[in-house]
Amino acid sequence: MTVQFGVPQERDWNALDDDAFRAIVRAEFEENYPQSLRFPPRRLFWRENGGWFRRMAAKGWIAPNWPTQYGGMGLSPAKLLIFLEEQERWGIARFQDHGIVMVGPVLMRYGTEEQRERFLPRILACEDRWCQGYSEPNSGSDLASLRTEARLDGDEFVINGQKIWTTLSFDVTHIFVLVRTDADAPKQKGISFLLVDLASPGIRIRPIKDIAGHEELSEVFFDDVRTPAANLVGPLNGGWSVAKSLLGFERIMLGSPKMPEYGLQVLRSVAAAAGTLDDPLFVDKMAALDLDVAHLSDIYHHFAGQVARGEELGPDVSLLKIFSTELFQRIADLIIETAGPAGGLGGDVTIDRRFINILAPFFKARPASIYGGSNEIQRNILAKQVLELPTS
Amino acid sequence: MDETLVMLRDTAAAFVRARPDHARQFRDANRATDPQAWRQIAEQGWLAIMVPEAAGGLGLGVTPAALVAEELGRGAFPDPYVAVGILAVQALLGAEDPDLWQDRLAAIAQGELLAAVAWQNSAVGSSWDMPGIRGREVDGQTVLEGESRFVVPSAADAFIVSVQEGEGISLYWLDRATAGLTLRMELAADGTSYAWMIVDNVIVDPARRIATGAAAREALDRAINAALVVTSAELVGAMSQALVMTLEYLRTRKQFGVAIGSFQALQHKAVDLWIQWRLAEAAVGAAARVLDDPAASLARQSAVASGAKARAAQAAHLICSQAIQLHGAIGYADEYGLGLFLNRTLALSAWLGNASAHRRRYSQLTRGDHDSTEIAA
Repeated sequence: MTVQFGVPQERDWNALDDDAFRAIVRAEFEENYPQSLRFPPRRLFWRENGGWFRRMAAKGWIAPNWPTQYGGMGLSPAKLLIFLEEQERWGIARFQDHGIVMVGPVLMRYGTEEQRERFLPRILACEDRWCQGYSEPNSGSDLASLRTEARLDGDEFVINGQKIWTTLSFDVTHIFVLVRTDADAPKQKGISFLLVDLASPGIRIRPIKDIAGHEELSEVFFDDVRTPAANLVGPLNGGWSVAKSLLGFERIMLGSPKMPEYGLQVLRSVAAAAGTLDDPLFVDKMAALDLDVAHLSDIYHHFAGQVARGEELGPDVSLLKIFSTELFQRIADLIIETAGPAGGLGGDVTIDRRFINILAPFFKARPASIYGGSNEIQRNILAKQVLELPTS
Repeated sequence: MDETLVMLRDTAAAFVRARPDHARQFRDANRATDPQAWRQIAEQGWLAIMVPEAAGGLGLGVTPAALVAEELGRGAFPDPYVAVGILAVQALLGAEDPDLWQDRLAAIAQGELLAAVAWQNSAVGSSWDMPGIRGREVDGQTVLEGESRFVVPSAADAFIVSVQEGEGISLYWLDRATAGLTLRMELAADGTSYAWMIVDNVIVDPARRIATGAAAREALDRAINAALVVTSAELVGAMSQALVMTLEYLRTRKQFGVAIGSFQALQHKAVDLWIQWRLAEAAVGAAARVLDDPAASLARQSAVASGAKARAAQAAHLICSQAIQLHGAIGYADEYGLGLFLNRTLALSAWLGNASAHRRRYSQLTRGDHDSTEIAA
């Protein structure tokens, strides 16, 4: 029996011209996405946005990045960028979609057909939802030093250790983890990539409340947790290469101009309410930020063009993440400054009969320069790989 | 990039590489122009890039002109390529009757006629871009009076002068020898000189009027926009060369027994400068494409041109100043050569309006774009 992956596509999206495709996607989002869920100030839980993504699943749009053979939309890189841009433009918050973004592509590249048939249909149906277990308390920027260990016992791995900064682990069903399977090998060479059901006995989750007051992050503890040996992805001790292969397309999305653009919109609303839109000092600061976003957009399109032409992105793409996230932070700072005494108020604030969450951009902007490889690590990479500066 | 553009860029790069001492010699010769270099630039056809084919030019756009300027910037060439080949040419292209000016356009393109545009007043404050010269009717004749400053090149044979007439402006052609025209020289940071033009009761022949009213305004705006973008490209070239020199120095200069480029504090600083150069390069390339797009509105072209100049001026200033710091004392020595790039960027950044002036212009031009973008945050 052949496994059915997702639902068939209505048409060959790549045969459409870009504008026609964009119009179809935009119309779908604008007509159907709940207004109340646009641009949320925090990550949403499945009970809040699950309805929308189940609708996307039923339509066959849940996995725009997957090939049609495995139930995806089969979009070319250029069409995929359009899809993601439209999603961001309409303020559609992602769900914890690591199953779509990471597990799917990894299984297609490194998995067995058995693994694909077992996992992909359930990801497409949103029955399985995935989070990522990489960081540990003592392994942040130095991820390869991770110590959570997995020992083969018969046809199962037994996992012991701890992951941290796991996003929405309590809102999903599965986790993929990097674990140490050879303690004696050089640190990158002793790591494996494992798939784990979060309902397994021995897993304990502790939510971590963040400085904005939200509970999106968590710690995941593993105490003699058993997962089938058949859940090993890629070769034993080959997990580092599997994990690195996921860094391709995401690197450009982390530097998209959408977050700073959202920040500018909030800034304009706050400035209008505060009556500073004509203040010459504010005008100069605002124009400088407007131009930073416009020029970020120019260089983003330079890289997007490379992706669209199917070219490999070079290490220089790291500049997008650095500039975009730090620009978002500068915008968030000016929002607070412009709000004056209201800059210390949390949640939705009434100023000049508008409701504005003044601190939301500020708090959203904090982790952006930390996750996905901190900006300091990105600068190290650029210094060595692009600027060819010497190592000490 | 298509093959023609690659060839143009490579030719310009080779031209600049073959003349490593040009910037220093130009400055030290203490002359307003270098006629030999100018003739060679003209022979390359670069002054004809914006001139239509009907007038013997190449009829190309801002993008190829920007590629040439970027290479000239990499050598800190002080020659008035943008002032003549872009600003003056583009102003003449906006003439109400282009046929009348074809001979002069051809002469400019061949490097035989040096023309400059005089459009700024003598103020250094916020009203710098209003014409400083007024025209009035006296006994049926047009009489000009006033001042214009920062006119490049100071050695021009003729000037295209922006004149306030009633509510609008007109553009007039004035030869250098016109009675009543006085030129004072001001020395710029890079060793070039600007003319401070004083116009005292100059009676002007109506045949010397290039354009008036809306046509004159549009001609001047288009000329300034093109000159802004191509100057920004020149700044990109200058900043990139300062950055290249700095990175090479970080790789080779040793202190405490190691290359100083291995220090993380310096690496991160260098990366931030490099990011600013990449942004400036992308902004200028995108702006050039907008100027070459006949479907783009003049307001949009003006906005992106100002945006490009604001970015390039700011980035060039940052990179060239920090290049000195990263080199240490040797960077401050004239003989080392970084100073040529810093001084060239100081002059180009201020010319045609600095970063702050262009942020203001950008802000004014884009004000209406944001009316519908407010969201319930």
